[in-house]
Formats: sequence, structure tokens, C-alpha cells
Amino acid sequence: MQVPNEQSGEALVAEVTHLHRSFFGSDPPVEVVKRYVSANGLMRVGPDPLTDRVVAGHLDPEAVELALRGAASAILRKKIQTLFYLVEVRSAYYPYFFTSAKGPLKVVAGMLHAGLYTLRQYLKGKWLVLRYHLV
Amino acid sequence: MAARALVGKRVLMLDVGRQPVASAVDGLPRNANLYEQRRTAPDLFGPLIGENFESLHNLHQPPVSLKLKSPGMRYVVDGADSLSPTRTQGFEPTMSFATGGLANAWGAGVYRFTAQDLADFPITVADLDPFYDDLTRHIGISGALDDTAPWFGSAADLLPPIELSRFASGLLDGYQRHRDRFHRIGVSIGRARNAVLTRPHRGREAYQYGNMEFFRAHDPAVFNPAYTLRELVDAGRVEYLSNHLAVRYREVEGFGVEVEARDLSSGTTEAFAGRTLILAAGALNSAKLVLESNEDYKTRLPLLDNPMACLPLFRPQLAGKPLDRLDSSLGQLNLIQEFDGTVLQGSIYGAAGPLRSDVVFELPLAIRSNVEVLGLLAAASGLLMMFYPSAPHPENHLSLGSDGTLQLQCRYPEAGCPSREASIRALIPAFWRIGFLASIKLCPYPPMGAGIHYAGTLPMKDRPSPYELDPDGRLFGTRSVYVADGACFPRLPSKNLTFTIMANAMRIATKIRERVL
Repeated sequence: MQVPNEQSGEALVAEVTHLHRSFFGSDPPVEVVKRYVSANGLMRVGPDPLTDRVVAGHLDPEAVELALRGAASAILRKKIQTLFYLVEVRSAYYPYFFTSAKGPLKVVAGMLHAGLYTLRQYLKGKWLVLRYHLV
Repeated sequence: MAARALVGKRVLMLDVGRQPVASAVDGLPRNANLYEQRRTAPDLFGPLIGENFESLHNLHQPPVSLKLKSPGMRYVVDGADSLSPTRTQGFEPTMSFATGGLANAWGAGVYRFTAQDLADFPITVADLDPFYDDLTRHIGISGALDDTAPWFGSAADLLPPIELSRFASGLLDGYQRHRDRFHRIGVSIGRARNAVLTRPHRGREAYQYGNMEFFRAHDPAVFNPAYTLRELVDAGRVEYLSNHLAVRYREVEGFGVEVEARDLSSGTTEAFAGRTLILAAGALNSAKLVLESNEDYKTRLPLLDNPMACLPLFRPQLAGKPLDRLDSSLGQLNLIQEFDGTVLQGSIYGAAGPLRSDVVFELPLAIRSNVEVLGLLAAASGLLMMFYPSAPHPENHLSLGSDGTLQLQCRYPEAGCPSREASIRALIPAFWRIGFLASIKLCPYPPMGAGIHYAGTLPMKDRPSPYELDPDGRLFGTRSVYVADGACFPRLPSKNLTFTIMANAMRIATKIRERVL
């Protein structure tokens, strides 16, 4: 494994911890933290002001990424995607990525929920961008 | 495949010959299903992501096909950038220096060309049929005699088709119930013809439905030309010299050909002499070798690849259903569309091959919503990949820079093919009719080069001129230099060309064998 060369290990640990808590509601496993730090080093992703502010302010990364989707949030998005790659290959996260069988009503409810949740996150993200002057 | 036909001749094959590297994926049981493994194995970081984060490649480097980035599959394209550097405009090439080349990661679709497909070729179906027949028995091809047979040729000696997923069997049932409607719009659908074993064949095992095609190399059930090469080497019919990059050749008066190759281990250059040279380095690199040998840094050669369209299909009935063990990244069905006087070919795949993180971040909703929607729709989703024919165009070309860089340009991707959007629009109502939803707005058109069916750079002609081949594959102006890969094809029909490359290579080699006593 490579070691990070542009962003300190402590900053990356804080970053992955915040991202993991935001998406999965708990601290990340130790192996995921180590791999996240190494992956960032390999990718030579330098400090990203947007990500730093999201982490420092304990802001919702998903909402901010959605509101700024595109070039402005490209690095934040890559960092979230990196975390997702690292966790999805662990069986503990299998239920998060692979839903168990659902009947038609639950499918419709799930689709509606996904749409409404996206709307909520988008509005929240816009508010966070304005409130914290993120761009 | 040319070497198979050179019985009784002394054959030396020079090849870079990248091989699969040992990776954690080797530790998984051979017949394990990917999703069963993911559900039960605590941590598949090594096999699926890789200790060097190979599967994160597309996050920080120019993207490669999802099938080429996992730790077990990276060898297929490793080193290509440095071994054959390119400058491109409107064309995104994928090259392989692995033994067996890009067939290490192919879709394994095998289709015979018909008389219509060969209309601009100086050869006929009758010239290729004996080799198609021989290869069908050699490779082991699964498929069926069904509605697509008129476009795919003889079904003799086919193995039974692969088992269909719920998604694909529902689509085939719907097609069969509304066959007249599909036929009215020129569409026929049938079982995929794949170079995939559905029962043991010549010492190779049948396909186990492990869905590991994105992660593990050399599934014995999926044909790879490297298997044939190994047989030939073991039988003493081919001397195989790997780690050698052919750089140029020159004909030697009264003898034959001398090939200059770089030994990649030592960096030294070596010369190899022979009576006949058969180039089969792929359409791009065979052309490069020919241009380099002529020290020609000006000529522009034609460049062909199949334009593509990728139409996602959804079957609402299957939403919320668990993943299907029979789903895989192999083609399940084939589709023929006669549109605007042209025959188009498509393959229908499931959606279970790649990692979820490859797909989730391509969807338009919030990330968690994307995960939720993908979870609900995975078993209900499939992909129709349509391939379109390609014809030479003056603005689509290959040339060689004086620094040895291949220059690839494609300005007119739809040269020789009908409107992709119009053809997809014509299909969509028929799919809706049988309960499969699709939208033109969700249909991307991958960049040229993504088809990875490169061809046409040194085309066969009845009356060849410089940088063209005669019908026997011999390069114009040479006595003993032949080309036996996709470079030979003067046009590209919409079908995967690999089976015809193999058959044509055997045809050319047979001619050489008969000529060289």
C-alpha cells in the first residue's frame, strides 16, 4: 500500500470518519480507515477546500455533493465514491447495497422515498451552500 | 488462429504476452457465485478492489472499461500506454499486449458473417465456412437454431445455449408472444451465440454461472485464444517467444523476411528471420508495424470501429426481486434490427457484473437514493448494447507520428451507419409493448473506440494498392508479408468481428501453407 503524500493522515482519518458516520451512522472499521488513507495517497488527491469545510463543519456531505453536483464537488464526490468502493466489498455492508426481496407496494414506496429524499437533500444542500458560503 | 492452420510448418510467434498476475481472486473457489461470496465473505477487498486499489482506477486515471480495471483483469491492458503510445482525437482506443489480446476480456459473442456482411470483401461466405465450421468444433459455441439464425449462419455443432436469467427469459417470452409485431419493425430476437461452454468440451469445464467475468481471468468455460496457443505450444507446433515487441520488418531478397523485435526484459533489439511473416498484432498495431517498416509518417490509413448505443431496459415485474444466480455479464440474448436498409446487431446483458459503486455514482439522484433505487431495480434491469456498421471515411484515420506515436482520429462516428438515435427510437415501443420500459433519454452513445472492434486499416481488396491486401491477405508490394487480423476488413458489419478474424486468419494461413512448400 502507498502512503499519502499530499494530505495528512490525521486529516484523512477525520475525513473518512465523518463521511462514514454521515452515510452509515457509525465509525468506520479500522481496515476501511487504513485503506481510505492509502487510496487517497495513491490517487494523489490533495486537500479539497470543499471537503475540508464539510468535515470541519460536520455538514451533510451527501446534500452538499448533490447541490453542487459537477465540477465544484468533483473531489468530494470522488472521496465519497472511494469510501463506497471500500465498504461495499465487506459482507457487513451487503444489506446496505443489496436489498432483500420486496413486494410491489414496498418497491413503489421505495421509489417514492428515493425521489422525495433526493428533493429534501437537494434543498438541504442548497441551504448549506448559502449558509456556509461553500462556493 | 493462423498458427492452427500452419500444420507441418515451423512457426515462431513473437508476442509481448502479458499473463494474468497472481491476485487474491485466485483464492476464491472456482465455481463460487460472485454475489454469494459477497454476502458471506467478510472482506473481499483483495479480490475485488486489489491491494493497489486497481478497481479505483477510473477515479483518478483516464477511464477504462469496467471489465478491465479489477486486480485480476488489469493485466489485459497493462503496459499498453507505454508499449504503443497514442495521440487521439474523437477516438478512445483500448489495446492489449496480453497473450490472446483483448479476447481475455471479450463478450464472447461469435457470429458468422453473411453474404450481406461480406458484400465489400473480396472473399465470400464459401471461403470462410470451412473455417467457421472447424472453429465451432474447436472453440465450443453455445447457441440455438432460432429466429436469428438467418443472420448468424449455420447452427450445426452448437452446444445448448446458456441458461437465461428471469429478465432475459421474460424478454424472450414477450418477443415470442408478439413476434409479428417485432417482425413488422424488422426485429428478431434469439439466444445468444457465445464462445461459452454449457457442457464440458475438449478438456474444458462448462460455465458455472459464477458471474466473475469482471474479476477473474481465464474462466475455462469462456474461450480465449491463449488456450489454443497453449495447445499448439504443448504439441510442439509453435515456438512461442514472449516478452518481445515486434518493431519493424524488412523483406530480404531471395529469402523472406527479417523482423526486428525488442526484448522487453533486456531492452536489446533482436532480429528474427523467416520465409513468411504473418502480422496479427491487432488492427491498430499491425498498421503501425507496416507504417514503421516503411518509415512512412505521412500516410493516413482508414480506421473503423462499430459505433454503439447502450439502451437500459427495465422490467417492473421484477423490481424488488432478489438477484438472479443466472444473471452474469455474458450476453443472454441477441437482437437483429433491419433498419433503413441496414442490419444492426445487439446483445442483451444483465446488470449484475460491475461493482455497485461503479454504477451508483452514474445515477442522477442523491447517493443514498441511487443505492436504494439500484437495489430495487437490479434484478429488473438489463442493457441492450447495439452495434452499428462502420465504413471508411476520409476524416476517420490512423497514422504514425515521427516519434512512433500512433495518431488516431475519428470525426465522423456514424460513417456508413444509420442514425443511432432513430434506430433506438424505433425499438422502444416494441419493448414497452412486452412490459420492458426504456427511454431514449437514458441511452448513451459511447465514444468511438469503445466498441473495441478495430478494423479496416489495411483492407483486403480485389485490386489492392499501397497499404492494402490482396484477397489472400498479402500486403501490396511485398512477396511474403501477410496480415491476418481485423486490419483486413474493408468494412465492418454490425456483428462482433472476432469469430471472422479467427476464420479469416485460418483461411489466410491455409493459403500460405499451400503456397510455401
